[in-house]
Formats: sequence, structure tokens, C-alpha cells
Amino acid sequence: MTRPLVAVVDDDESVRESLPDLLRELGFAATAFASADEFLSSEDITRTHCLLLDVCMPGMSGPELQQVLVSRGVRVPIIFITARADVNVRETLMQRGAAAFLSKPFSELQLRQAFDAALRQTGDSR
Amino acid sequence: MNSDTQEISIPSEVLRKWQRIVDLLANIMCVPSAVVTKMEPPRHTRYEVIVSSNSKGNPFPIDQFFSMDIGTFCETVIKNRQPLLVANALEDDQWKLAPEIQVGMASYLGFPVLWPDGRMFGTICVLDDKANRYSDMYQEVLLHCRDVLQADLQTLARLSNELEEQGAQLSELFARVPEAVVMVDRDSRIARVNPEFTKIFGYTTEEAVGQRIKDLITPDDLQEEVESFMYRMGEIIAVETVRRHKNGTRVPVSLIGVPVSAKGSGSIGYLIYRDITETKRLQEEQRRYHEIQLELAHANRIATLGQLSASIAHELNQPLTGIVTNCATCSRMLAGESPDLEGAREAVRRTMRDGMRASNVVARLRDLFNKKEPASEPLDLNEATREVIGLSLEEIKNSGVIVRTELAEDLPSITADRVQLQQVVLNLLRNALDAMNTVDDRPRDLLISTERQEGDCVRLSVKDAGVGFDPQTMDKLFESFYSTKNDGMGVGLSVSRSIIDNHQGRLWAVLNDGPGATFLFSVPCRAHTAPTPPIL
Repeated sequence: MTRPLVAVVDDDESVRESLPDLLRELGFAATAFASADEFLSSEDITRTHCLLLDVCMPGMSGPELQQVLVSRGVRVPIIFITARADVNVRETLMQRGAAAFLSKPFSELQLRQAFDAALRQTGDSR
Repeated sequence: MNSDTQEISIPSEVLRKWQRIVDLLANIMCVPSAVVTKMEPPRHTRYEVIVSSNSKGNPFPIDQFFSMDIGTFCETVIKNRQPLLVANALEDDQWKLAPEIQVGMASYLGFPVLWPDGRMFGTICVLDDKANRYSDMYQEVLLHCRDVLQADLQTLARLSNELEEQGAQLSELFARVPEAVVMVDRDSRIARVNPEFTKIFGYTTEEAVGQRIKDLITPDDLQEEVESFMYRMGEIIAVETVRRHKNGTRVPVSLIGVPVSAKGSGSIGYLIYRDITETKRLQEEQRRYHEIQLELAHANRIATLGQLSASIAHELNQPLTGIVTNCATCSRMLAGESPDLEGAREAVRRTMRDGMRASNVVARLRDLFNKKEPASEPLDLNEATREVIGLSLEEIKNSGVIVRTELAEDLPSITADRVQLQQVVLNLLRNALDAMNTVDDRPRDLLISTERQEGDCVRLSVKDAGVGFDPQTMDKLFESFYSTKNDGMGVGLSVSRSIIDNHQGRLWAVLNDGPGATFLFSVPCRAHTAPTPPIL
């Protein structure tokens, strides 16, 4: 069975560098994108099982990307990750259907719990 | 302006003088009667004998009135404005019906007496009970006496004019001055009020005169007897207090009491009230405005700090995420049967790099903070200090502290951050108030002074009479980070010190010779202010 593909979309280099390796160790396949546009114009959209999405990015923000995907009918679970701990933002995004919300820096355990939530959201495998 | 001069009454001293003159005349000229008469105002249909010689056989008593149409000698003198000599009335066809003959007088010599403006006053004359030719010398004597009388009248007229003019000027002042002026007697009863009094307090002249000033306008809950103080002290008093309008409203006033010793009628005083409602309102507005300004500056600081913290947090969270994630990866890679050493090394390398990145973030931010210029401007430390005191008056009053200032007049202007220095002054002032909180056995004196120092510096000191401090632990005062006990508008001593340090100055404390301590700071005038270090 192929590893499920997780896409990391974050404008921060450290994050893009470190996360994919951890994800691979956790048993996923991982790709990283520096911006929402980069992700949208890639071929991976349909193949992506889960999205690790930064909230604040230059250009299109994380929530905006979420809207775009919804409007395109792409139903991929989204785990938001953010350096800013804003309670209101968390509420809003969860209500809009995010699978999970993680504040940086987050531990490996928190990451795995987030994936569990994402899995529950999907229901079945793609 | 010139009143009817004939309204002027002759003062008794003058009458006494004139009495001596007529007595002398009667004596010297050996006649039974020497008299001065005065026209009776207003219509001059009569004249009155105002002085009459005390000689034997004088038929004319003082205060006797004569009609102006009965043909007397004096009447003729008055009507003709000419001297008259009647040597023997009995054998003179013109005069044989003169009324004086009825009382035994047979001859007459009289001169008209005029006011300086030419109006008729009356006559000065002598009468004899026998024929008398009144020699030239006697005529000259009488003439001179007439001149003396006229000189006296001139003086009287002049004085009267002056008095009237002064009176008019005073009345005009009284009427027009934009302060309430009340004339009171020794018992503080109102003798006179001006229109402004009615305007400020609502009582008309009729309602006010005769009342005791305290009964009229002092609010019931005020026990003070300020208005009578001026008599007790014998000198001018000036206070700010509150009085009451007729309709009950309270009026804040500044009151000046001037005792005046008036000869003769007993001492009187003048009370001058100025309605300071508007002044107080403006003062309050200004105070609020400054308070708001300081609050804003403070809030600004807080907000900036908040923003800064968020920024810092965000910037640091990124590399921290990298570190945590890489370590988790590394940990995984090393676990298990065949550890991925290459992968682990890579993760560690990335961790170190993220660590460096985090520390760079901190350094960059510190740098960013340092580049921000503090608001440096030319500052008058005296004025800034007065402002701080002004804002703290309420606190000072509530602490029962007496503030004195000795602010050097020649204090040069310095270049400094106004709000920061004011924070320091406020801090020192508040600490001084706190230090005297428990003092009961001596006056809570607070002295704030500024002076010019050698080496082109200015120095401000805050001297209290409080509990002082332990000299062993003096340094701790400045090191500890505890904030002041109140609402946080000031800053602690440690931050005060760093503010002063940034201005290339010095903040220190000494114990007084007496009770309490003095906190001082000195700042060079030409300070090149280094920016405040961030509170990280």
C-alpha cells in the first residue's frame, strides 16, 4: 500500500525542512510547498490525503486556501498549524470544518493526535 | 462736575476761625456788632447769620434768618455785589426805613463775599449803634478780613471738587469693576455693594445692606469666618473658598479682604470676590487633559510591548517548531533495530541551525528595538516637574503631605524624553509619599528642588521626612523589580534608574540629616540619549 500523501504548506523554511522528515518517519509520504498558490498549481492536490496548512502566509492565507478547495469540491482534511496562538481564529477555523488546529511548536504526540482527528473526518481511505 | 458751591457747608473749624475774626473786628473797631452772613440755598430768598461777634450790644444772634426783600443793608450789598457804607442811617433818606434801625443799629459797613467762581456767598459787615464814618483804615481792615474769608472759600471749593472727583472716580470704579466689591463695617455688616455683587450673588443693594456678610453668602456647612479675619489680622487676606448665591448654588470664589482704617467713622473693610467657576473648570480640564496624555503614553507603551511580544513569539515559534520537529525525527531515526544515522545527523544539523536562527531572531529584534529613537526634545525640567506635581495634587492632599518647591530660576533647558523623565519624577514623588505614610509625629514635608550643576548638568532632588532606608541595602532599592503600589502609571526605581542612565545621568539616594531620605538624579544638558533597552 502506498503511503498516504501529506502536503505541508508553510512559508517558513524551518518548518518545510523539518516536517516532511518527521512525517516520513511516521509512515507518510510528504511534500512541501512554500505558498498556497504553489500547492494549487501542483499536481498533488487530488492525491493529497491530508493538508498541514499554515494560517498566516503572504499572498493567499491558509483559510483562504481552505475556501478555494471547498469551492473546487476538493475534500481533503486540513490540519492548521500556526505560530500565533489566537483563540478566536481557532474557533472560527474549527467551525469551518478544519480537522485539527496546532500551535507551533507542537510535539510529535500532538501531531499524531491531529492525524487521528483527520482520519476520523475522512471516514474512509481514498 | 462742579456742584452748586452754595451747597457746600462751612466746616466748624472754619466757622470758629471766622468767629475769632468778627470778635476781633468788633473789638478793634469798637462797634457792638460784626457779622458774617450766608445765602441760603437753593433759592437764596433768605440769608443767615453764621458768625456773630460776642460783643456787648450785638442784636444779631447766630442762625438768625433775614428775608431778601425787607430792605436790609446786607440785602443791598448782596444784590449789588458792591461794598456799602452807611455812616448815619437815621439821617439818610435812602436808609431811614432800614430794619436794622429797629434793633438799634445806626450805621453799617459791609463787603460782599464771593465764591471763587464768582457766585454770591454772603457778606461780612460791622454795625454801630451810633453814626460812624468808618475810617479808611477800618475799611481796609474789613476788606482784608473779607479777603481772608474768600481765600477760605476757595480752599473749601477746591477740596470739595477734589473730593467730588475722587468720589466720582471711586464710584465709577465701584460700579464698573468686574469683581464683586462689598464695603463692610467693623461687625462685618454690609454698607455698600456694587452691581457685580448682585450679578454674582443675586442680592440687590436693598437686600444686602445692613446684613452681615456671613449670613448672606457663606454656605451653612462652612464654619469659616474669613471675612472678619482681615480685621483680626489687620492686614489684607486672600483665599480661595466657596460662597453661596441667593438661589442656593455654590460659587467658587477667590476672596480678598482689605481692612481700611477710616478716621472718625471707625474701621471699615472692602471685600472683593471673584467668581472662579470658569477658572476652576479650565484648571480641571487641563488637569484631565494632562492626565489623559500621560495615560495614553503609558497605554501606548503597553500596547507596543504587547505587539512586540506577539511579534517575538511568532518569530521564535517558527525555528522552535523546526527544533522540536527535527528532534522528534532524530529520535525516531535513532530508535529501532537499524538506526538511520545519516538521517539523524541531518536532523541534528537542522536542529542546530534552527537554534541559531532562533538566537538570530532575538538579536535582530533587539537591534530593531534599539534603533527606535526615544522622543528627545528640549525640556524645561522645572515645567515638567510642576506638571507632575499638578497632576498629583489630589494624591498629595490625601496623603496629608506639604509640598514645597525650590526650582532654580536659572535652570538650563535639557534634551530628554519628556514623558520618561516625568515618569521618574512621578516615581520619586510617589515613593516619598509612601515613605511618609506612617509618619505622625512630625510634619510630612516634601521638598522638590532643582538646581544647575557644574559641568552643565541639572539636578532634581526629592526630599521627604519619611522612614528613610537602610543604607546597607540601598542598592537593592534600585535593583529590585517590584512596581510601585498604585495603579501602575509610574515605573519602579529600577526602570527609573535605567531611564536616567539612558540620558547619561545618575540616580541615587542619600539619608537626610534629619528624618527621611532624599532621592536625586542629575542629567547632563547635552545628553545624547541612548535608546531604552528592551524589557526582555
